[in-house]
Order: sequence, then C-alpha cells, then structure tokens
Amino acid sequence: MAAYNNSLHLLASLFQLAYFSLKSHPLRTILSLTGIICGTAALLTVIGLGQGAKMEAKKQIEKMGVRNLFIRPAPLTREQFKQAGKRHSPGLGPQDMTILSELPGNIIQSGYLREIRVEPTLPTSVSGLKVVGCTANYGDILDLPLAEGRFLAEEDLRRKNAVCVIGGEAARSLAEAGRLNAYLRINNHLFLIVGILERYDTGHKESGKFSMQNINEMIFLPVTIELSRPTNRGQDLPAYHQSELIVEIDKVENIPTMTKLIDRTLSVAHQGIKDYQIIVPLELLTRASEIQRVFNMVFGAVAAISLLTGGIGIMNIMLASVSERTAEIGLRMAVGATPHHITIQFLAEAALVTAGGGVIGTLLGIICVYWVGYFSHLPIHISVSVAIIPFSISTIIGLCFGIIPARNAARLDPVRTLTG
Amino acid sequence: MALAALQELSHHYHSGSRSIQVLNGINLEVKQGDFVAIMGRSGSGKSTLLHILGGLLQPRIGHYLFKGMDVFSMSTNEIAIFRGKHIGFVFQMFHLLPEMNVLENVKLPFLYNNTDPNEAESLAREAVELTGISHRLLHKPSELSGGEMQRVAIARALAPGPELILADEPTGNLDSITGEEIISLFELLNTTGKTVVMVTHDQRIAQRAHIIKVLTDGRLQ
Repeated sequence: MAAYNNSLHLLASLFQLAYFSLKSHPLRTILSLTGIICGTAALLTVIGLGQGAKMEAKKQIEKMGVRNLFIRPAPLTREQFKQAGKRHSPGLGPQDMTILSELPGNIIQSGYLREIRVEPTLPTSVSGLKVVGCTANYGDILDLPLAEGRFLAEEDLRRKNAVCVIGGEAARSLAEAGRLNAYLRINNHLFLIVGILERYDTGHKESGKFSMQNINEMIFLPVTIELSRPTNRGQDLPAYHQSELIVEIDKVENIPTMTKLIDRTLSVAHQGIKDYQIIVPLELLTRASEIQRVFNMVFGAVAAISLLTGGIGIMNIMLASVSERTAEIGLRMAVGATPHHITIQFLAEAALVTAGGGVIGTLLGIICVYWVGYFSHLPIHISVSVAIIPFSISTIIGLCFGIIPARNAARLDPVRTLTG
Repeated sequence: MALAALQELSHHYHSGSRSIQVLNGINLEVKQGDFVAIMGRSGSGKSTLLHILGGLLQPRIGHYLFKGMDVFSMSTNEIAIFRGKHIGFVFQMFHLLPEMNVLENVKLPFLYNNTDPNEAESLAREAVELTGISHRLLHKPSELSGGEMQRVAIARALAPGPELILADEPTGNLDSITGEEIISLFELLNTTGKTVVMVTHDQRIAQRAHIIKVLTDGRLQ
C-alpha cells in the first residue's frame, strides 16, 4: 500500500513538474496545443455530424418501415408522356393494388393513398391541410399512432361512409372544429371526424432524404369516396392527383426479389412506361450509409491530418524541451532517477499537453457541432461516447509522438549532461 | 572493509581517431568516515574518477566495489537505485531546478527511492536545518546567493542519508569567504560520520581533507 502511495506521489510529482515546465514556456505550449485543439475539434465535428445524419436516416427508415416498399408516380419526359398516351398507360392507381394483390407469396398487405385536389372549408386561420383518400390498412402499415377514436375501417370504404381521420397538426390548427365527432366540410359534403392521430414525427422538415408525406397535416377520407372539382367550363373533373402504393413484404431478405417482381408486374401493367418509381427504404438506408461512409472517410482523413500535425507539434516541443533540460535530466539521474523515470516524466508532459488540448478541442468541437447544426439545419448527435473518441485519439497521438523525445531523454549520458 | 574500492581501474576517451587515456591503473580505497581530497590539474581526470565513484560512468577496465558489491556488474536500473541509496552528489554548478523552491529541491532524490512523502519532508527539513539554509525554505534558487545555492545542493545530497558524498569542485563557483564556509560545512558533515570525497584543484581547500590524493598522468599518488 505504501509502495502504491509512493508511486502515486511520484506520478503526481512528475505531472506537477511537467506543468511547471509547460507554464514556463507559454507561447511554445500554446502553439503545440493549437494543433491538438484543432484536430480534436475537427474530428468531433465530423463524428457529431456523421452520427447525426446516420441516426436521422435510420429514424426515417424506421418510420417508413424497413419491410415496406413505396410506389409513387415518376416524373415523365415529354417523349415518355407521348408514349404513355399512345400505349394507354393508366398511371399509378388503385388498379395496381389489385394487380399486386394477385402476386404469389411474400406480400403481407398493400395500401393505397391518393391526394385529392379539393379545398376543405376551413377557418381562415388554417391553411396547408391536405385531403387524401386511403385504404383502411394505411394506418396499420405505417403504424400511425391514434390519439383519439379510430382509423378508417373496411366498412367505411365499402359503404363509402362520410367519415375522416385527421392528423395531429391538423387537429391542433382546427382547434374546436377539429375535435372528435365534429364535422368537416369538404366539397359541400360533411365528413364526421372519427379519429385523430397523434403528432407523427416524419422528420421531413429536418431532412429531405425521404419524401415522406406529412401525415400531421392530412385529412384522411375513405379512398372509395369520389370527389370532383369544378372547372371553368362548368364540368366536374375527378379531383385525384398524386397516388402512392405501400406494399408490406413479409421478410427483409425477400425485399430484393419482390422489388424486381413488382417492377416487372407494374411494367407490364403500364405497357412498359416507367411512370412509377419503387422506393425501397432498405436500399435508401444502404445508400445513406455508403454516402455517410465516404463523408466520414474524407472528413476523417482531414481531421486525422490535422491531428497528425498536432502530434508533430508535440514532438517538436518535446524535443526542444529535452535539449533545453539536459542538465536537469543529468541531475535527476545523479540523484537516483532510472531511465524509466525520465521517460515517464517527459511522457507526462506530452500527456498534459494532449489531454489539455483534447479537453479544449472537445469543448470547441461540441460548440462547432451545435453551431453547424443550428445554421445548416443538419441533424447532429453528441454523446459521451462520441466526445470520448476524438479525445482519446488525440491523447494517443500525443503520447505516441511524445515517446521518441522521452526515450531520447532517458538515453542521455548523465556525465555529458552534467558537464556539458 | 573499505566503503568504496577502485581496483586497477583504467579509462580512456575517444576524440576523433585519437584515444586519450585519462585514468591508468587506479587503485583507491575509501573507508567509512574518510575525508578525501583528489587534486589534479584541469583535464587530469579527477572529475572522471568522481563520476566513476558515483556510478555515472563505467570505466573501460577495472572494478569498483562498494561495500563489497561490484557496481558495474549491475544493470542500468540497479546502478540508478544504487546512486539514489548510497551516493550524494554536490556539483560546482549546483544544478538546482529553477521552478522548485529550496525544500522541493532538497526533496528531489526522495521522488525516486520510494520514500513516504511525510518522511521525505521531515528528512529534507532536517538536512536544510543542518546546512543552515532553513530560513530560505520556500525561496526559489534565483532568489539565493551562490553560497546559499551550494548549501541547498549539499542538503539535497545529504537528505536521503547516503554513505558517500561526492563533491566536484564544490567551491569552484564561490568567492573565498563563501568557499571557506562551504568547506567548513563538509568538515562538519565528516565529523558526524559522513564519508566525503572531494575533487578540487585548490591546494588550500584540499588541505582541509584528511587524505589528499593527486592525479597526475592518469595515476593517483
């Protein structure tokens, strides 16, 4: 125990001495600190932003459902549009859901949603709400959480009940008019509010990676209800616009095969016109991870170069320190210091510089991450484990670069150092 | 048994392609309680001899026995520990650490010999008291005179209780009055049983020792 206490005392004394030495050369110390501070801050910023993007992407994918496929209309070129007209491609519609339901095997269920271009009659203060028609299983596939009431039922679709379910944000902005069992007026029809969704974090405002519909601002009607919109010529036209199909696959490993099968089936149904696109969240996740990996590699390399420069700075200050203090090293040897003691003493100095630089760099890095996140609206993530990585790397680099000067010091000839 | 014994010891330095013989067949016995002065001209090898006695320099030929232990058969670490335990050095240039105060400088050897910090403190204060510098305990070396600095250096050599004190021109950087005070301090230490080996080129200082050895052409007379 006494030996342990004495060793601790020795270590504490060596650190104290290292502190004195650094303090006596403030400019040199600050310069060598700068490299480590910049390197650590840069590395932490890269990791903080990288982790933020990764977590955000993962969150988005989870919201979309890893086993779900999204089929949406694809924008057509003028030539493709002509071809679609010639070949009578109907575009994406509910008929596609019927076709897909006949496919063998691995589809658990498929849902359908279409945007309806009508303006609900709302208080003047409310705007931006979107009316959609959807199948009864849409809520189930996307696992939409209900705050009150129920989601649309098969019965509603079959009997074309004038009911609706509204998103959380829509309910909030409608206030009294958006309560359960209240009526909403849409195209001169009254729809009974049978369900209100909880606010659903689609994250689409934070990241444009996955164009999830903003569920919160939607009014869901049974897809079987036909609504029309008046035109200038007095004719009413169907008010349908964008459509979306969601297909739930039974297992993740079946997704690639099913994606190909669905693509081929739809291609035949659409007369070879590619007027739809299949969005596979799993592929998006993989692509996002790959992009993230490249981003991490490039910026990580920049940060590593910065840290390397910091390490060279440490080596420089240590070599200068050793050559300035040869007499001191000789004296320490004369009073009983072993080469090991001398090595530890100079490593303590390197450790102090790098740990000090690491702490300041970490704090600066945290500020940088929040600053970049605030101004660029990029997702960020900072945690203890994220903060420890650059700190540890910078300390290890500092110690590695401190070893050579420390060993040089320990190998000095005591007679030369005392007489020279 | 002699405290320290050098047997048929020779040493040479290389200077370019030349080999300079500094010590040639040295035999020396230092007994417990001796006060030995080694004299010689500048470059005669007296400091080299002192460095060998302190285990700082390994001779090319010969043996060094300290209390019967063959010093240069030890490993580098063992020699360092030997120095910390048995030898106290006093240098002409004092070699005090400027960032540390008097007490911290005197406590320095304890850092490496596993002494309990409280015991180290008490031994250091005793040594400072004995060398008459206790009124400057918390002063930095830059605030001390040459004589005071040498007293601190002697206290540092003395504090761990070594059997052999080696002084390399201890008065070389001091005026004659201060030099006299320092040599009196060595005499005092010797009367308390400390063995002192001192290197000097000053006849007057050397005569204060009980045994005077003169190093000429690498041989001790």
